[in-house]
Amino acid sequence: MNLNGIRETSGALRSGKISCVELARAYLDAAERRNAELRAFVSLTEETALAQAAAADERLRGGGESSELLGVPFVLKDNISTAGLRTTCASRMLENYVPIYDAAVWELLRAEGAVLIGKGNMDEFAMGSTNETSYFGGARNPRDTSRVAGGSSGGVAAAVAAGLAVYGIGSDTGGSIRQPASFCGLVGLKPTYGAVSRRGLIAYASSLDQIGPITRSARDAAAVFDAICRRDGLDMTSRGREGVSGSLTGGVKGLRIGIAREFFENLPPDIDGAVKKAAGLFEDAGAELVEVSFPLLKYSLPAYYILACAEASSNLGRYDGLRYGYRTEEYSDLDEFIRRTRSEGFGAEVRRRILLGTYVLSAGYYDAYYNKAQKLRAAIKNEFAEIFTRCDCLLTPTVPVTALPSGGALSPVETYQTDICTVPVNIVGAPAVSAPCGFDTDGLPIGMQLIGDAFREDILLNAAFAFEEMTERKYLTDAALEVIA
Amino acid sequence: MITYDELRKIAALAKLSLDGEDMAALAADVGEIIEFAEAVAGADIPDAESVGTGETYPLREDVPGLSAPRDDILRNAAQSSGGYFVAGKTGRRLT
Repeated sequence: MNLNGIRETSGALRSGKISCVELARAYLDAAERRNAELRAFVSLTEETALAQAAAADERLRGGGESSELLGVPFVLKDNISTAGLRTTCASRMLENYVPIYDAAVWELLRAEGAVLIGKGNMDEFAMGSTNETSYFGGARNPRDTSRVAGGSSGGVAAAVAAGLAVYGIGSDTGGSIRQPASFCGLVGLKPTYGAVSRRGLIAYASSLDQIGPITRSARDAAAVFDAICRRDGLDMTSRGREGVSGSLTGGVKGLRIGIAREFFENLPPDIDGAVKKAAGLFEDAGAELVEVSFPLLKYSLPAYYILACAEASSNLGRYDGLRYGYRTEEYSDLDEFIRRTRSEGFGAEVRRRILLGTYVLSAGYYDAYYNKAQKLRAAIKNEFAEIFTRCDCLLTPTVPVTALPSGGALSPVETYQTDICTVPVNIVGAPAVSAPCGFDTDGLPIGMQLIGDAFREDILLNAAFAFEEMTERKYLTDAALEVIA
Repeated sequence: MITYDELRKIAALAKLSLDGEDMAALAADVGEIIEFAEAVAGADIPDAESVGTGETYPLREDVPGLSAPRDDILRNAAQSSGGYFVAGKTGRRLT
């Protein structure tokens, strides 16, 4: 049996071809076999998975209506709180931290009967684009294990691309869902800010963070999004929205797709070619290509890093070794206790970002950096608003590179520059989806990004779905676990 | 480029220790990032108001409710005693 997506898996469970417990066992065994090689999971949650699977079997036997996610195995990024299950943020600081409450998304998925296979590896505190800042060692790309899986939700993407989970839940502060999805040949949806509750997501940059799915198709992304896009009274920024699965018609006739040349400057020819070819296919299917301009793109990246690091320096101030987390053993006074705890508990990239955030918020620099970045944020929002009066979505590359070699020699700033296409989306709080649209000369996946106006996930996922249909799904990763029932 | 003195000042504000850091490498990395961020300081942008997220959000009713059980909260602390977190006294080792 080849169980590639949510629908196929759910169908096999409902028809009785395989039980939820048998399926969970098969996924757990596969994950145990391959995790040393891929480092996709920080932890496997065997006891929880088997208990949930048994409960799902019970619900199926009881009959009646149930979610398509019932009994379907998934992976949750390890910065999403799971009561009683270790949640590390891939940091020494939280290596032994066990949350006492659940994240809202975990509550929602559990209510649907989803089966949690494990917690996905990630860049430490979601700060990174390669997964290599993980305290546990970075996740490897199943397409080519000498390459990174991407970041920061790289472990989730690696697990889904390797067929060790049917789908995954990541978080995206500057591209952390879309970039690993692009590197691994998957679909990644960064929802509108506020569409999905952030309660229980361990904060990096609270005004930019958003939770969303990483899947093997647009249809699966819609199914998972529908389950988690609920208003949550315990997250004041959460607004929720209606589900979008019903919008996946595959029709793009009349869709106005914006092409901003700034996103295509200095691209490698294979990435440029693949995204423009996708644009041509949309046009052939009846969409209208609209030339637009986004001159502030060049400021998006530095503005993003100023804002994100400023928020991180504040959010990560809570880690002092007193109430939870790593605690140093050697110190001479309380001040040294806190400083050593933080320096030993955080990795180099996290310390760098805290330093930058503190610098831009400090007296003498606040106006020149932080305040100016906030003004840029407003200006970028205005530019996006103008663009969306003229088109329904923007089409761009997701990343200007394909999966990078592990242990690469990029400097911190060179690594940041690979986020150029994804960060504007978080700055304005818009939704965006990354979908596979080609391969480079090494056979590595290339992703295209569709950006929409707030709460228009329906348009983006329908366009991605239409593209899958037009291209006969040939760019999607088929990584189904082979299950012999 | 950021000077070592500036770096020490920022690290003190951030409650980070620089003991054992390769100061030259750290200064070079942080300096490169600050230089990268300089683009913002010099940006010529249309006159736009500074914003937070640009959104307003509703507040919940301020209703008293149960908090998490104390023992559950203390379970993640490296040291606790009598229902309290234990912080080291100045000049003493904790463990």
